[in-house]
Amino acid sequence: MNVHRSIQVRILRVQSSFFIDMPPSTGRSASSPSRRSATPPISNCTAGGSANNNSQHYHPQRAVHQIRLSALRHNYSIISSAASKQQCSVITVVKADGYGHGAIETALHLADYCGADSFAVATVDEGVTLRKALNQMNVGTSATAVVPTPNQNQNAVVPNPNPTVVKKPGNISTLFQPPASVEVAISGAGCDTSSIGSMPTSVVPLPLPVVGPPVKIGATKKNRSPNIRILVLGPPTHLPDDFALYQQFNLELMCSGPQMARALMEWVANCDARRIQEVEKAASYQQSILLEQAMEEEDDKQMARNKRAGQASTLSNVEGVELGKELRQILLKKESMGRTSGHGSDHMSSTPTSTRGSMAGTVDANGQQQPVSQATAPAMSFKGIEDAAKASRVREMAAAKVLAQTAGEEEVEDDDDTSLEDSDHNNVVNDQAVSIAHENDAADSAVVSAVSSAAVKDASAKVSSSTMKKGVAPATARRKIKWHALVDSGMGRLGFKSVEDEDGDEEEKGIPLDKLPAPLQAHTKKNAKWKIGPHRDTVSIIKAMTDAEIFGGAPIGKLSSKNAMDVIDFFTFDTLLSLFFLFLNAYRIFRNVHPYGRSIFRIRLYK
Amino acid sequence: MAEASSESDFTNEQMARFKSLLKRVRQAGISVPTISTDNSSALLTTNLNHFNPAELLVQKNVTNSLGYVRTGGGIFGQRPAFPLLKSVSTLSASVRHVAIVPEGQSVGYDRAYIAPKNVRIGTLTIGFADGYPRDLGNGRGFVSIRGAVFPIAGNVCMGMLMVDLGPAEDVDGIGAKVSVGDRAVLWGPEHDGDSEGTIRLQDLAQKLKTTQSALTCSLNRARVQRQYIE
Repeated sequence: MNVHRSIQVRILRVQSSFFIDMPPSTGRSASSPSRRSATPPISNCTAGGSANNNSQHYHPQRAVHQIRLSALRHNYSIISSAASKQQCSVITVVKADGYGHGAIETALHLADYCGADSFAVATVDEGVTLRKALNQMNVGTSATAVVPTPNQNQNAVVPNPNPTVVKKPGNISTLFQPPASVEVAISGAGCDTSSIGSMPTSVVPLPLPVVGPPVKIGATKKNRSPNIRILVLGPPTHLPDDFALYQQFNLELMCSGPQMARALMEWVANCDARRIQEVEKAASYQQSILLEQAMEEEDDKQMARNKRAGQASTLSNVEGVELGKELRQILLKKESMGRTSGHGSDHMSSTPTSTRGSMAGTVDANGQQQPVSQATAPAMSFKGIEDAAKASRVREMAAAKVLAQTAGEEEVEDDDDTSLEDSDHNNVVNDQAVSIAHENDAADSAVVSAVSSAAVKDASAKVSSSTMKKGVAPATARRKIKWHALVDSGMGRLGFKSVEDEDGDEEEKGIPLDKLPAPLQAHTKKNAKWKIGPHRDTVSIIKAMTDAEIFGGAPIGKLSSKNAMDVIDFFTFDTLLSLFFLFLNAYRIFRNVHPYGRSIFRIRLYK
Repeated sequence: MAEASSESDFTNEQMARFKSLLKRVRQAGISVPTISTDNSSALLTTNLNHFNPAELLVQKNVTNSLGYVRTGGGIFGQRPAFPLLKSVSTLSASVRHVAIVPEGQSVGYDRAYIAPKNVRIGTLTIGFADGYPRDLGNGRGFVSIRGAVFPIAGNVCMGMLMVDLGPAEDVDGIGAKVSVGDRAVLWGPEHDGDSEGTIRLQDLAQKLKTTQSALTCSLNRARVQRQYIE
């Protein structure tokens, strides 16, 4: 590897001599002895800003991006004092890898030295990476970045869990110490040896770099807030799927209301598939544990057998039936634990289908495992979705629910199930509403109200029977998604509608121009494009939700100054109901406002 | 905020629209725990009095509510309109080669640079693949070596660029002292006391009609090594 690198360096040098049209003779004159003696290369005027004046930095790297942490702190203090003057606190934006400065390092530094407690990134991936880094670099851990030098090889502590952030010093040193054999090899390959030999680069040996002092990146002053918030600014892309990530890594997202509602509806509707995935995940995890155990137990035996058979140790070598039985026992155990603890996965006993391609093994309803030879793929799935199994699953769910209610505990997964069933129901209603709405636009509001009242009845019956009456917090903290309503660019979609796109009868209901707020009036007159919608703007949607008395898990009802963010427990049924409302209204607005809204919406959600 | 200026009609209207929405939501009895309108520029523009906490943050049954500002560019010292901020970023490379190019000879791809006289040409270890803009070739961009500033000669290559160190006959100038291994600063402060550096990132951004963030963001993560210094 190192040899390879140094070959590259050599080639670079040779090339550079080709780029400069220069006969070998001038090259010789250029490389005068005085220049050779001009090394060590750092003169007084270029002594790179170091914390230690006695040591001079040498930069053997190709290109170096230096980030001045003191300036970072200075700027942060300026910003935060300006913000506090207007009663604001600072969200430090570190998207795009901290504007190219290293998101993790800068965030860590600002968190530890300046007490920065909120960060914003652009994508979920950035958020996850940052959260992981923050968790890893807890307060008290001393993290330092060392200016990489070969001499400090052992002391270098890389501040980033991602090892590519600061290159391994060893590589750099070897990069600039090409072995002589390589030089000869390249010189022999058709290059003018004399001209290369005359180059100062190849003659003057590079001096050993001067060691720079380590720079502390974070985590000594313990200024760090215990709750660091990470906000994902960018428009969410894989929303229903990514909810899991937002949840798991405690990321807050920012998007417009209708988008959020739609995503949550999809999320609830896809409950089945998601749970199958969870089962698969759990199963594959269990399987890997089992495999490990089996491997450990039969290690010697296995090795001997492998030697005899001359094959690798795969799942096919493990006794399939025993493994299956063991797996089934673990699953059953987990299921019963889940019922009592309240975080159980009662669907563990179910036998849902999987469309996943990778199968390491299959388990039928009796738990008999048939070993498949692909032990390298840890993914595991279950086969068959017979009606009988489904029925038994429903029974088990009911039993689990009763168990939970008698225990007075909140069943997260049970709520999930409830919402699943109800979401099925709601979807039916939805479809009806949509189809009717398309047949007759004028009857829109009537349909919606009818559906609403039906849903309310339905909901109140269900909700009162389970969660709300008890007054228990609907879900655990880890099940919460924090959502910021984006009204900046979403305004046109949520609160306002296009004049071009509206029907005659609806126009009459619209607020007359002269009653609009002054700036809006000016805007409307100027562009004649936007006006306030007739009756389904943001406020009326929210009102409709509050009117239906669905405070429990609804985005609005849970707000408090302490929590300071919109909080949604989308696993609870009451949330589902509120979303159903929001969804219906958002749908209508979306359909009216967006020229293609109708078709897009139908395709995405109902087909 | 797209246009941070107190005289911007657009901004005033945008803010008025936001306030109107906020007011209506609150009138509907809905608590809005926090709001956020400002980015770096909007926050630091002193003559912009759009954000009145008494008007925007106060609501029933909630005390001490805080708003939020979302600032990135300001913290990274990339908002040139505000001289209070300090530059954070310094990009440097090293001199890999020094040669004297006789009059009439060319340098680099397309032979874009023809030596007007015998000149000293230094080759630096950075190119457009590292994220140094190729548009800065042919004398548009400058490089600081040993405290002196030299123009870029010819096109910026993918992995290197050449600088014109001055006439070969000049043996007393700083250009004649430049030697292999020297640190060449492409932008940013060069040492501790240096607040902005000889070659300022903001000038480069202006020259290229882009932003400082665009320049720092396009640095190649795999090729350019990051160093955190005090």
